[in-house]
Amino acid sequence: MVGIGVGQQADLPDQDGWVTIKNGQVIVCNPRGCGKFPTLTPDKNLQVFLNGEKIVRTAFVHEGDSIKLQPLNTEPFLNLEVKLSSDKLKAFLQVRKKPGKRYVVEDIPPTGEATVKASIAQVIWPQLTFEQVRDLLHQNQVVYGINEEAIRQALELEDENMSIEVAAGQLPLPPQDAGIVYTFQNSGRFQGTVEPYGQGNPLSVAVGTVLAVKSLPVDGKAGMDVTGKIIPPRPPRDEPILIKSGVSLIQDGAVAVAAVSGKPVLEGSIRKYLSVQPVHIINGDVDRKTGNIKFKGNIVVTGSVLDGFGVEAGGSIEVWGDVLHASLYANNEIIIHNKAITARIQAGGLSSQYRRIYGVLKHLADRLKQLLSSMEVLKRQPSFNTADLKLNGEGRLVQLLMDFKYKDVPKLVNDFLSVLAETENWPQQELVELGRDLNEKLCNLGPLRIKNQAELELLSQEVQQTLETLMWLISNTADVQVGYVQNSVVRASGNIIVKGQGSIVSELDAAGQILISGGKVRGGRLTAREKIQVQELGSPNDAQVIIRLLDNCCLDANIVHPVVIIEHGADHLVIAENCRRLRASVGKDGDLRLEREYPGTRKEL
Amino acid sequence: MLLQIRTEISEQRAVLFLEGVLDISTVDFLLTGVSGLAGVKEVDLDLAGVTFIDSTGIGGISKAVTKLRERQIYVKIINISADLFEIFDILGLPEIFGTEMFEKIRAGNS
Repeated sequence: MVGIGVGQQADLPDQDGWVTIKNGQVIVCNPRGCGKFPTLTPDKNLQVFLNGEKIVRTAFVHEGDSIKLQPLNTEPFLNLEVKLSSDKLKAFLQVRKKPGKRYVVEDIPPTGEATVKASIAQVIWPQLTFEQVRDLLHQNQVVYGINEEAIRQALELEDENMSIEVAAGQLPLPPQDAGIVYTFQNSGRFQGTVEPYGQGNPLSVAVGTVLAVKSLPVDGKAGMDVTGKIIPPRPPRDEPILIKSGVSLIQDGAVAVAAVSGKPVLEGSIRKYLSVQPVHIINGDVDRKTGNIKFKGNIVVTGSVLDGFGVEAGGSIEVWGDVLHASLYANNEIIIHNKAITARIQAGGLSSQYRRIYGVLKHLADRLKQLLSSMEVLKRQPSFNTADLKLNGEGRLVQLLMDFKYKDVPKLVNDFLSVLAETENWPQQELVELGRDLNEKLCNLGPLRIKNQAELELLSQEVQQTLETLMWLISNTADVQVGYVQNSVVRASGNIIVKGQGSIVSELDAAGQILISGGKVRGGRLTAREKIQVQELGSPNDAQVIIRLLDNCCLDANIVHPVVIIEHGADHLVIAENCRRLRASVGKDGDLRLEREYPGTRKEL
Repeated sequence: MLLQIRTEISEQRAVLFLEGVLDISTVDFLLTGVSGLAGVKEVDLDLAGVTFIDSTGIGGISKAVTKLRERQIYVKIINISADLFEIFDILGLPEIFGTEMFEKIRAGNS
């Protein structure tokens, strides 16, 4: 465009010049006399070139100037990308697009100061075709689960940025894991008249009774990702029915049936084992007609256990009558519906021994770990020469460590062996074997026979595994339930529950709780680890009661008569006055704390 | 490298300067050197020159200290490198013999 001059005459009166734009043409009229020259100011969407030079701000023009107006047209922009999810189960089309624009210079009527603009004449969107998208998907290996409808919808959208799911894979169908239904649980089916042991027997089954049914595992179905790769399902988890004595598996292990008549028992915390413990019924009393009773399973005595006789059960004992001057020993619970007088009662079998062994082995396991760690550190020391260990075995190093820093290790092994020696027939043979291994390798000259560290590591693992077994054995607690106790000794690895009048001059020792909620304790000694709850403690006639609180055990007694002695470790307190609502507990600092009420007052010691 | 032991005795005090490797092949030199000491009430085992030790060597040191103490001789281990002392420490020797037995522990490798 060239400015077209209209002329300037000096003799005419002053008149400002002007400029006009029409159809993209710039027409300039010079001023007359001392009039002002017209100006051009470039605005948006175009560039102005004056005599070949781009101007960015206001410039004056006159006739004969070369003025070029150039609209800033833009081209359409399109960027396509395919993104896959990390599991390749989804493909997304990411579109970034921008329309192109065509501009025309706006007309301006004659003026002294013209601001030149260009306005949009045409918007041109980039072309996106279905084929383009499909090809791009194929380039990115997306071949499965393409959603053509979603792509077509995406083509129609005019959004500048968008992300659309254009393909979806297929997740594998999960398998069905095996499951076990124990049919004797949650059902009254095996109680009462249906089964042979009749009235009052809590739970029993006859030979051939189905005890457990396993639902078989079912395989899942493979899926496919968007690239066409097969996704296999995880294998189904199989859970076998684990059995011990008295149970047989049929139908490839899918059904468990009772092989003997007796009481079905499901034991174990993580791995559950099913067994049927046979029940031996004594109809009537245990007396000179029956003699002493010893049975591996459960024993039910429908009468009483009389003077001088003993009942020993591998399972539980239930006595419907009394226990008079007699003894009961059971690995599981003991229930005496009436009273026990001058009796010795122990439930939980070897539980107390297991606890002692656990304590020793726990300490030993820690020390062995430290010893192994010391070996590692020593062998890494640059100044420590290990050539002799390679020649004569690493046992020399073990011996050296046990001579100095780990002197206590052989003593711990001996402590373990001492507890083992107290009982002749351990049901857990692995305990005996562990004792033998530990003695061979860690006592006397045993360490020198160790060839390498791995041997010691194996021993350490063996101790650790035994600890896990012991943990389970200890947690398998057994309660004693009795109506009334007098002049008796009662020990339980679980709780002792006296349901009737209470305990008179007896020694009760529970690893769990002692609950005599409605009864009295007159004389004797009560020891527990968790809780002791008594309605009335002590005697107006001065029968002394000793309460021993182990660990964090607490005592609650509603009425207390002197003299009651409460012990915790080396600490002891004497209650020499009548009081009510006595609570004895162990504080955070390990000290005994007492709360009690006197008539009309409340006092804390 | 074998173990060399140089002994200096003055006024009932002996210093045994050990230099080299104290291991299964050389430990007897140390025990012989210690048992040969007579008329002294104090012995310093200078381990500044000990570059390596093995389990037998450690056992030898322990045996030497025990034997000297049985003879009512006051023993000290001096100029031991930090690396070597760490080995003794892991084994619990300072706990058994007393930390005061170790003097002048040197930093860095021996």
